[in-house]
Amino acid sequence: MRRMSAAREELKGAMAGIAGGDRRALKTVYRLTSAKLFGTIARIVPDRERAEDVLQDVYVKVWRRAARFDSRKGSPITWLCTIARNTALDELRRDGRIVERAEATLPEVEDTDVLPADEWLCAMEESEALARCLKRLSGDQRRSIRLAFFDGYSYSELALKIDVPLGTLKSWIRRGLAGLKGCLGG
Amino acid sequence: MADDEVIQSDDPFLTAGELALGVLEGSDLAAARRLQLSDVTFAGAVEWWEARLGAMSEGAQSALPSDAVWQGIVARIDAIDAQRDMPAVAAMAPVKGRGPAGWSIAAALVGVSAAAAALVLFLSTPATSPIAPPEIAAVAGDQLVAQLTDAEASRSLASRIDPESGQLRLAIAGLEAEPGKTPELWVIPAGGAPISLGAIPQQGNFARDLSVEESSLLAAGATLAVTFEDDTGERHETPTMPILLAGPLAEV
Repeated sequence: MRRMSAAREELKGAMAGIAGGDRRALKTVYRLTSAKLFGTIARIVPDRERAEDVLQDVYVKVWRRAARFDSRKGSPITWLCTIARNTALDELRRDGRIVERAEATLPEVEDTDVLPADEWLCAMEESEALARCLKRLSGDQRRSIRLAFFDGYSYSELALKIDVPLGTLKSWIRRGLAGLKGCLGG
Repeated sequence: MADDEVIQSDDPFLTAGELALGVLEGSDLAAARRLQLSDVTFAGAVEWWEARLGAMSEGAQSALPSDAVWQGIVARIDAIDAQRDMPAVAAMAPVKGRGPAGWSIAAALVGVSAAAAALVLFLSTPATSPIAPPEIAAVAGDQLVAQLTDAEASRSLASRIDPESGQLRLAIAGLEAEPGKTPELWVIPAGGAPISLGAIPQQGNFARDLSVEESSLLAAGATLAVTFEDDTGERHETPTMPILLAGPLAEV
């Protein structure tokens, strides 16, 4: 627990440093987060070269935008991962991708519970609340939301991927989001 | 049936969740992006979802990037920092380890610079104007305006930004795009790279609210520019050449 919170504090301090134009702070944020961000990107953009280009774009954006990070709205790692995910999705949409058809069952994305505690960079409470609320959803709702999140699938891509009618998939995800909204107090 | 209700309900809060999750596509995506730009409540809902769903990111597998990535980042921010004090428009070219964009943007922005200079000359001799640029009535206060005109192509765009209300107003003429294309507005901060402000109409008057982020970019000394882009409903990362119109923002 102590190590976890030390990493979090270090990240928070470094984010403030970047906002002030401190290069060493950017290096610190890179050291603490690049493996996690690269993992997030590589899942959406599997080609290594493209994924590394996206990662580069992400930290240049972070350098430019750090002043706009508002710690009251969320943790630094969530903010960073959102930039990484959105940049990867933009890259994907620009060039498109081919979705291989139909796995018979929805694969379960690794559960966040397996992560060693000292690797956690975001507020544990946020992740726990989300994990608890996801568990309340039906299996189809939870798995389709997680797959869309981690692999960056759009509705039609995901429907093709897991071979369910588009309407069914939309229903799972919208009902899942409605459930999360109620559970997380949106 | 409950399922149908959920699918068919157009609860904007759920649509914001779909946008944050990244599942929307086509016209639904375009509509949601437009709403994100024009509706503060909706934009707030998207942020709420991004922060909540983003907590899942911790579950992503880690992967080690090569050392070249960090070196590339350093090179690019070196370029940004070196250009911060330099008003030269060439400064906007991003330095990239890979990818074709760098040189072409640099070349295009030399064009922007020339266009901006030409515009200054043009505006200082208004009597020679072969076409009447659309006008927006002047209002007292610290407003920012830009008049972008290409007389030859009969294209023009007059813009006014009211920092008080955070509104962008445009009067557009002659930006007819081919099918599948749309005019897109860009802001180029002094010493910065072009940042998209999204698609704009081909003709007529247009107004929308600016986000805080956008307002901070729209300062005197920044340049506005227009290009034609694929009509994907999304903001593009880099402009497609040629730049159709460009001109500086000035306070009035």
